[in-house]
Formats: sequence, C-alpha cells, structure tokens
Amino acid sequence: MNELITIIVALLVPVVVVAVIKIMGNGKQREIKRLPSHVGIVFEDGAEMKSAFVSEVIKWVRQHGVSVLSVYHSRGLSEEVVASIAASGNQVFKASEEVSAAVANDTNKVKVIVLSHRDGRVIPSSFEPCDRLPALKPFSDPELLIIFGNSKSIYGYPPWYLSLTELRFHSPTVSSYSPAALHADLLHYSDTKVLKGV
Amino acid sequence: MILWITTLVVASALLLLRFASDRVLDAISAWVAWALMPILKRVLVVPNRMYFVMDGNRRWAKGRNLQTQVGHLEGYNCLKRLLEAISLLEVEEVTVYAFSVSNFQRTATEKTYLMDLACDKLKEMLTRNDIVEKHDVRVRLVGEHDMLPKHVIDAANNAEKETSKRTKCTLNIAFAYSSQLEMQNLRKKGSLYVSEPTPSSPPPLFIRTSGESRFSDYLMYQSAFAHICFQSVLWPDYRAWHLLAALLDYNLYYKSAAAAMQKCFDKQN
Repeated sequence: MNELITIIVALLVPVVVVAVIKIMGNGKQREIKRLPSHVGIVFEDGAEMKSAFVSEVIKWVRQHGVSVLSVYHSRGLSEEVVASIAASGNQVFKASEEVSAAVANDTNKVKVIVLSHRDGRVIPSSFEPCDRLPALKPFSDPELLIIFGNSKSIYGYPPWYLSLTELRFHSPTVSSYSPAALHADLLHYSDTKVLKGV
Repeated sequence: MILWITTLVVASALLLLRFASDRVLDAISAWVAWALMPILKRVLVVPNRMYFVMDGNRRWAKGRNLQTQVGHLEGYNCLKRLLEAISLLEVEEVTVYAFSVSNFQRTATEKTYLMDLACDKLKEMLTRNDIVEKHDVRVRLVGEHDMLPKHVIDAANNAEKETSKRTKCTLNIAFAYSSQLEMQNLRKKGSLYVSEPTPSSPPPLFIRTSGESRFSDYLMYQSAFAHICFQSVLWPDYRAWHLLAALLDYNLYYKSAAAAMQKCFDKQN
C-alpha cells in the first residue's frame, strides 16, 4: 500500500508543478504584438448590459489602441447606454451608417457601432431573407468577437462579418470581466495565425 | 481502498488512451459509440443538425512525420468513423467542411490529390456495405461546382442521384464552398446550399477541431444561433469520446441560444 501511494504521488507531482508554473506565468502580462482594428461585443438577452460596463470596456479598448467597437444586443442598446457612450466622447454609429477609413483611423475616439437583431440574422418568415443581406458592408469585419452569454453562440450577430473573426466566449456575468480578461482575449487574437485556407 | 483502485483504473485508462495505437483507439471508439450513443439518444437533447470543420489533417500528418496526403486520407477515415457514431444518434443532417474556396491557394500537388480523393471516395461510398447503404445516407456535394474539375462534378452528381431517395440522414459535403459566396447566392437566387435551421428544432451544433476558434467562412448564416464547440483534438484523432464531450457541452448550454433564436423569430412575426 505504501508503495502504491508513493507511485501515485510521484505521478501527480509533475502535474502539480506544471500547473503552478502555468499559473505563475499568467501573472506576467505578455506583450500584444498584433491588435485588432475592430472588436465586437455580443450580449445575450439575459446578460447584464449596464451602461457603466459598456463605458468601461470602451475605455479599456481605447487604452489598447483599438479604434472601432461594435456592440450587439438582440434588443439593441438602451437609450441610456447609447447616451452614456456618446457622453464619453465616443462616436456612435448605427449599422447602416458607413464608418469611413478616415474616421476609423482616427485613434482619438472609439467608433462604437450599435447593432440589434434588426441588423443581424433574419429568420425568414413573411419576407425574403435576401432583402436583408447587405450588398455592401458599411463597416469592416471585427477581427475579435467577445461574447457574454450562457451558450457558446453568436446570438445572431450579423454573421456575414465573421468569416475570419476570432470568437471568445465569457459568462453572462459581466462583472467578472476585467482589463486582465480583455488583455487575455487580445493576446489570444495576437497569438493566432490565420492561414486563410493555404 | 476503493478510491485507490478507482484512481488506478482511471490513470490506466488515460495512459492507454494516450499511448495506444490508432487501431486500438478505433476499436475502443467503435465500442464506446455502439454502447453509449443509443443511451445518449434517450437521455440527452441531440441536435438534428451538426456542422463539422474537419481541421487538422496536415498538422496531424506533420506531427507523425507523414506526408500531407496521408493526413487527408486519415481525415476521410475519421469521417467514416464519425458517421458510424452519428447514425446511432439519428441526426438528420450532417455537414462537413472538406474543401473551401480559399483552399484553391494550396499547391497544385495537394489540390490534385484532394480532387482525386474526393472523386474516389464519392464512388467508394456507393459500394455495397459502405456508408450510404449501411446508414441510409443521402449524399450531397455543396459549394461552387463550377470551380471543380469535371471528374469531381460527375462523381458528385452520380452520388447525389444514386442516394436521392435515402432518408435517414443527409450528408452535405462542403467542397469548393464559401459561406460568403453562398450568402451572395442567397441574395441573387433566394436559396442556400445548406438549409437553415428552424426555431422549432434545437439549434445546430457547430464543431471545429484543431483548437482554432473561428468560422473560417463556413455556414455562418446557418450558424447564427448554433451552439459552437471548439475542440483542440486534430481531426484524424477525433473519436466517439470527443463527440460525447461536444454533446455534453451542448446539453449544458444550448438553451440560451435556442431561446435567442425563438425570440428573433417571434420578433419577425
């Protein structure tokens, strides 16, 4: 019996050592070598979507140098949230408004594109779905999409923008999301190699 | 005592899975599928549409110092194993991403091999006791057919014609496929290559192997409310327990996506 315990402990020790090294390594923030120019955020219907949180995320995104942020909620953002975003000096756009390259490259302000189910996936019922697919995309594809929800789903974010978008899923409890979590998401994007089919 | 024995059994099983040969793993996977899938069908919610990005063939081959072609061939063998397991779950439609429009940028050698492999396997599927007959599968090749060589188009048309009356499961093979082009086609002609899910059914399950976490221009329109499962296993190593893990993940979390899909549908009506 003592020999069995010794063998099992001997097998578990390296596992524990590796885990500790990984945890300690995560404490040091690695440099982000490649930044997305457009980050998308999706809120599930039941997720907390408070104006304070959206404003905080915009601030963290601007600190990293990202200039375009799209925010999707199936019901759309409330007037309170939109007003709060605009009040912080950011430019707010609707999905149909074109964000020109000149505006997008202005790093002084974050361009926030507000999206709802009207802009996203349309379940065909009484009208032809192809009527709602945009002939031209008024804004660039987000390179990174951060989703707050119980399911690992895009919840109807306009799918035609997501061909090569990195998807990152988080719980709907947004209060658990922090600058460190955003840094980790941006790092994931930075570390990813996109081969584009080759 | 029981705890130590259990720990020993679990550790032995993990070591076996880690170091066993592919043939042993295939046999264990087949047994797991045969034993568990009929039970899971009764106790779990099984989506009636599953979408697979079969990613990792080349990395699998490179990791074993084999030629890329071997990786693609093993990828096909894995697809056959998967269909064995899925047939036990009675899934209505399975769509697999075999070759994208962007894959035409690959080397001429690899492209030629993939086209010939597709042609050969489309013919092989129709032989006695193979996939189609065993599992009553209807086969469709979906994508931009005008980009494909004639021998592949002929093999695809023949496979579709020979299996058109099969009803248990539809296997859509996305070949020379681009979701962006499919959506453009939807604008012009009002139809999709792969049908979209209805709110009355559970949302689809989208699985991508090899650890990548993007759609890569695959079934984006159809996956707007799908439950997405990114798994780190390389495609040729995909086995029954990976599918089991994806199904368990789906069952834990799909309801929220289903509710969102239903709400969107209700809003349109």
